[in-house]
Amino acid sequence: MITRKALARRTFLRGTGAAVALPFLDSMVPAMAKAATAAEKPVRMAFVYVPNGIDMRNWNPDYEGKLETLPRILKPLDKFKGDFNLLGNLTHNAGRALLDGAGDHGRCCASYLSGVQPRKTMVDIKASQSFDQIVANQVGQKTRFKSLEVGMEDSRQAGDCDSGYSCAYTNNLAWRSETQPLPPILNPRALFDRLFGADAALSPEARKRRALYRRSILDLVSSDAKRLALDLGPTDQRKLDEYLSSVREIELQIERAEKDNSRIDPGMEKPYGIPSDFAEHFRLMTSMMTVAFQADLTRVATFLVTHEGTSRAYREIGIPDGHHPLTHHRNQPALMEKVAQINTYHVQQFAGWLEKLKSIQEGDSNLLDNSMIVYGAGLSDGNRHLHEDLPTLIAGRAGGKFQTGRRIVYRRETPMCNLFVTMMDRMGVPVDHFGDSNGALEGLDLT
Amino acid sequence: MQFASTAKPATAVLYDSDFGRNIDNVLALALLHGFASKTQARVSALTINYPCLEAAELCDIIEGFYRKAVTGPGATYMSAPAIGVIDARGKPAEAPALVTGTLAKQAEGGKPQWQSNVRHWSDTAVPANLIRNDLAAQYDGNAVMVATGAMTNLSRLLALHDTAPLIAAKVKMLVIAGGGFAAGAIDSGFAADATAAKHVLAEWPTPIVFCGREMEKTFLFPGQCIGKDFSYVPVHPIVEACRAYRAMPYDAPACALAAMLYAVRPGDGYFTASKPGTVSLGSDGRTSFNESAGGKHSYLTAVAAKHDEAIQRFTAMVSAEPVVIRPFRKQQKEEPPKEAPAAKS
Repeated sequence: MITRKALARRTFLRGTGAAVALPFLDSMVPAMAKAATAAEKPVRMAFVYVPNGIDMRNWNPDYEGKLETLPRILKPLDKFKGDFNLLGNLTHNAGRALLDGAGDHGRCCASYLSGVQPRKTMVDIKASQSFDQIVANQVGQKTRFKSLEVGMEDSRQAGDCDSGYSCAYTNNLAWRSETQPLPPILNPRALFDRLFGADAALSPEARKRRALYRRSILDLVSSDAKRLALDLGPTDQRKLDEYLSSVREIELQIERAEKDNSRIDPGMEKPYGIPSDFAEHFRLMTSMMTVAFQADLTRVATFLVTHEGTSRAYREIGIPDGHHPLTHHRNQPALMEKVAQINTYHVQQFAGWLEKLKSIQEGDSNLLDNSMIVYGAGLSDGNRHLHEDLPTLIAGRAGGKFQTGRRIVYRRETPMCNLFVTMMDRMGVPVDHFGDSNGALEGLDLT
Repeated sequence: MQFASTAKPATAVLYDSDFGRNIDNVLALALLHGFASKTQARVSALTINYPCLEAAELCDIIEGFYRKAVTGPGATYMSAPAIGVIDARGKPAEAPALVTGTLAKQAEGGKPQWQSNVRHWSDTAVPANLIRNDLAAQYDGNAVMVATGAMTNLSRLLALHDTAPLIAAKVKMLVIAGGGFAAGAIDSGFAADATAAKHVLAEWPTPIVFCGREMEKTFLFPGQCIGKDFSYVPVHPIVEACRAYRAMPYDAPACALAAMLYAVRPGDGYFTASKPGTVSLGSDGRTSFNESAGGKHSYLTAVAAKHDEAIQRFTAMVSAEPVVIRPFRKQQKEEPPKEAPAAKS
């Protein structure tokens, strides 16, 4: 006879002013319901957006079908070849001028997830609710946060950022409504506190006391964790230990970043707490998204790596030139080479995130398998500002629904929004159409 | 890269055809390029309504031939426009002799005379999407749709979400080279997809002007022009297409040419439009016209007094030499048409 009660999925470790959500544990599955629960595993979805297009000569393979030799920019993903699909010929017509003249950077970012052409203005901004927010409003009922909006580059939310397009367009991916963009959280500490509610919930005195003793959030919940551990089997104990260690590691990384914020000059001012080192910042933000997915704090995330039109320099890899000016290379090989290096550097960081997601077991699969992680840009050729054949890869198997490891080239002018319609369906939010979609994308599902 | 505009460019022409199944619809594309060279029209979107990849290859080659006229810094920013082709769904159509014959043309050394950007189906576009996206980039009322062959692509365009208002705003008129109004001839294009044809006739939101099949007897493109008017280049894809279609010389029925002429120059008096009414497609594949106030359809009849001038006009424009195309360049005056050889009717 089975008498032991299953642990609730929404169990938190609690302490004074802190609440740490738990990852998916075997103990959360009632003994007689393992098979049913396997089918109900949450699917997560994230977008990683890189600006200014990609050097498409080094992105697109010259073949279709099974992913074999990867082009230069995608080389860092070599060991994940079986975990993603590389999609070709997806188009965002809403990013094109359509009589609105210059401003491709503003348009391509604002239309990327909203699927509509934004109004050309610096004042009364208007786009549309982005599809991630439509999903978040539905699946977010089951999680602590409807969605997470994350970024890495400090940027304005007002003024002219591209030929008459408001900075709100170039600096945000997610839109809560047609007039409300959701600015990304840039500061790792702020994101950490949002996820775990540590400092925000403390009284000013307690916050001061905690800062004085620099206590870890895990210290605050340690007695609860110890009590819980007594009820867990060895596998779950190991999972819990690994999870709490990764939370602690994030804390330590943030502390290190706050102490040492001046090793590398990115060419612009950084607010306190934001690491100067690009790779470290990327790792921190994605680590926290990982934890958020792992603990089912949210199932929807957007990550604006740097903002559209950015002129950030990449001295980390020996490139002192601004990213955006480089992309207008006029086919000069030396400049094109630098663009390819920046694109590759970004993908290297992304590969690190995939590795992390793949390393986290969830039942008989892993966190990456139970996700849809899109990496892409709103422009293909940044030199010519093209909005067709957008560089797009989607990693993860959507909870076992997608077949991965392939290069799929659709016909030209296939709407990017078709991908979104497909993803909405796999997130359990089916719609007839979104933006300019004319159906779902074929070829992704297991046959 | 886009630049802000200050004036409306020339009328955008979107051309949906059974390209390569006859020489008429190939010549119509050359005519459109002739008008484009005089900045009287723009070649805006090209779609093919039967599932033939080779037809798209040829269409792209002809486009490339005219596009080569664009040189200098602007060329850096020009990419090959997509050619839309209806999807084969596992059953591609056999390429017509006109298409295969032209593609087989070899240069010295045995290499293909022309290279196409179209090699796979993924190099072509979904026609309905292509047309919709192109229309979205046009000024209101500044586009004309010209169609010949099956109406499948236009029917699918109408089926896209929220597209009818876009068509209504952007398209002045749809000119169809098809139907039969003199003798009630069966139109093979309509018959190929009667459901789509009926859908378009019922739902298309702008006026539709029919250039019926009877025009094939009224207007013939004089074959003698082919041999001499394209001599500005040693090898011309239009000339090769004419040769591949049939043994030269021959006069080609010019229904699509007439439709294109009307679409770009409706006010030049070559045609008279009927009173408004409604065109219906019968179960036998024949079209019938019923006059009715408020009807959106009309059909054209040729003005006999301007018949020869019309032929001279499209003969001169079909063979016009490509020039650098600037969308906002002032309209160019045409040279007086040369006396065209009389077509055999």
